[in-house]
Amino acid sequence: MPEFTSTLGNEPGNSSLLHRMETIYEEVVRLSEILPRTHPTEERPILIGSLLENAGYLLRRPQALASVKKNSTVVDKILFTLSEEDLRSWFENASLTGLKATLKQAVENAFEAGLSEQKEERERFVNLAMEGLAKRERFAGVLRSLARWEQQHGPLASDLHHRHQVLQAEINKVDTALRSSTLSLEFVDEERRAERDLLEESLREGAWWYSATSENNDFSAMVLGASPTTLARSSRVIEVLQTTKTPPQRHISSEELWSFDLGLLNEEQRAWMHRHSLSCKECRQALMMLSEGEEAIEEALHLPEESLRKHRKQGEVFDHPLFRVQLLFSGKKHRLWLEEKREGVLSQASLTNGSPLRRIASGYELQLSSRPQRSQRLRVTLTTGEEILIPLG
Amino acid sequence: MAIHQELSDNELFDEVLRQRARGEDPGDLLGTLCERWRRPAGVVIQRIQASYRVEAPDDEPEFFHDAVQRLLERGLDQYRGVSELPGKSASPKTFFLRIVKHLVIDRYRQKRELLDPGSTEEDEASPYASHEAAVAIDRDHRQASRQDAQELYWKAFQRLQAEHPSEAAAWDVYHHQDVEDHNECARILSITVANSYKRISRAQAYLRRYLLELIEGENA
Repeated sequence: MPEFTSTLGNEPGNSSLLHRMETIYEEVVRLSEILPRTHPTEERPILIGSLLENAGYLLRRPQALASVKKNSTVVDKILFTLSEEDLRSWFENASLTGLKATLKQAVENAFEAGLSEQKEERERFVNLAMEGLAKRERFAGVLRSLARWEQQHGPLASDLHHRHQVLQAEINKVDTALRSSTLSLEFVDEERRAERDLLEESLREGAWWYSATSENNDFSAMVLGASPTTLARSSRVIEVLQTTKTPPQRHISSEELWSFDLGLLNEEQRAWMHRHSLSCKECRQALMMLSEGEEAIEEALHLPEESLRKHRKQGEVFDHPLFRVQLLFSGKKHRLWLEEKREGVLSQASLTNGSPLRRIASGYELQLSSRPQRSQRLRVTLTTGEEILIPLG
Repeated sequence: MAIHQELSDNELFDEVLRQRARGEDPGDLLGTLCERWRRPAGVVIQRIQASYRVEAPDDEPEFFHDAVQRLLERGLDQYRGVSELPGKSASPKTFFLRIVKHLVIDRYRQKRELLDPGSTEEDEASPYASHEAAVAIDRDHRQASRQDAQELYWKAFQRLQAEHPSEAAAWDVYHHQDVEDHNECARILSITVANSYKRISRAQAYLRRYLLELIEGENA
């Protein structure tokens, strides 16, 4: 959708909203006057979009329009002058690009408005939030104008009908994606209510950008620190919010442990680790393990090869230059693991009783409920075609 | 391959790094090299297992395999060949064994968390250690809901780190690192005390928002 030269301002207060109705009405009339003189250039689809948007805005607010003594039949007549070709040219340029990001940013600005301590700062964020929400309202206006055009001219041609459906589906997708993250709009409820109340009553609930959560004002109170016990609807909410008063203990992370071991932490970080380990047994033990492990590394580096060989080869059943067979026991289950020493050297593996082994990243595996019988063999086929039988007993 | 068997660990490791720099897959060479380190790795694994009082010899091959993966995925980029610690060897073999050491520690820490979520020394000295079933059920229930709340909290904190890193850093120092003093927090972060107050306050508001959105998202 082309970026419209919007006349939808966001001045707070009812009188300015009504003044805006007059301004938009005049804009619709102005557009209807210049459109016949505009050639079907690049500018024309923009003007058509602007007309659809502004006319839709007025049609969605018939009572407000009447209150400024303007007649919606004039708007109807203007829409009637648009041809199917006009709509086609608009549809060809229509796009929802940026709508989702704009609405997300509107939510962020609404939240910042809630956190603002200065009046001017709050006003700035409120205006930014409402500008973002107005973009969603413009699409609603366009859809309203198209519906009114169809009432006058009959259904859209099949290609336009299809484009209309696609546009509607995309809008629905954006709406669905944002629904659960619009709680922060509560911070601009006053301004949203003013906008919502101008809408025709039957349209208010559907205009979530102006109506959702706007009667339910405990989100902002909970965010700003009101006691959730008096406001929250469930004990779960109370417990979850409590974590921001007494945050859970953070343990030393794997990355911090690694950096500590390599001497990459600064003094503050090391000091915290020390303080934390005084009260946390688990992390204290992890730090001790670093020293234990370091001693083990030293030992392993200096042990002669013979001594290393004496270390247990638990679970190893068969060692081939290209693969290794291991029978591992965990809990009550046995796991037969055929580990490739080089990726892709094996093409197939099964037991001689017919049970196939499952392909995994490092080779093949099979879960067994008991240890294999002595007579059982593992049949391994290499990618070269060579077949090897390995006793498992 | 035969030529590779003739090379020393360091020469082979250098070749791995060269292959990687050329955009080639060093998997084969690295496999050959790590095979040489399998048994030393076993020594490290067994020592840490013994320190954790874990008797699980079957874990050893899996730990070794995962350590090779970790070296391939992360370690090769981190290896500098120079030890940051005086007196500590920085050979490729030592570097790999250090990866093994950390991997085993990580795994046993994770297992402990799963078995005993949120355990602290305070809990161990808890006066609630009653044998009555009702008390036990109630305690389980409280522990489950506390765990649920903490899981949501860490998700919210991760989002804070991604979207508002300055606030997250202040929150981390103030609360997670138990500083709980704005003067000290400001000093550590090199910001003003007023800024420390502001960041913590904003962090708390954002965390509360994210938590409520997470709950809202579950209900949607």
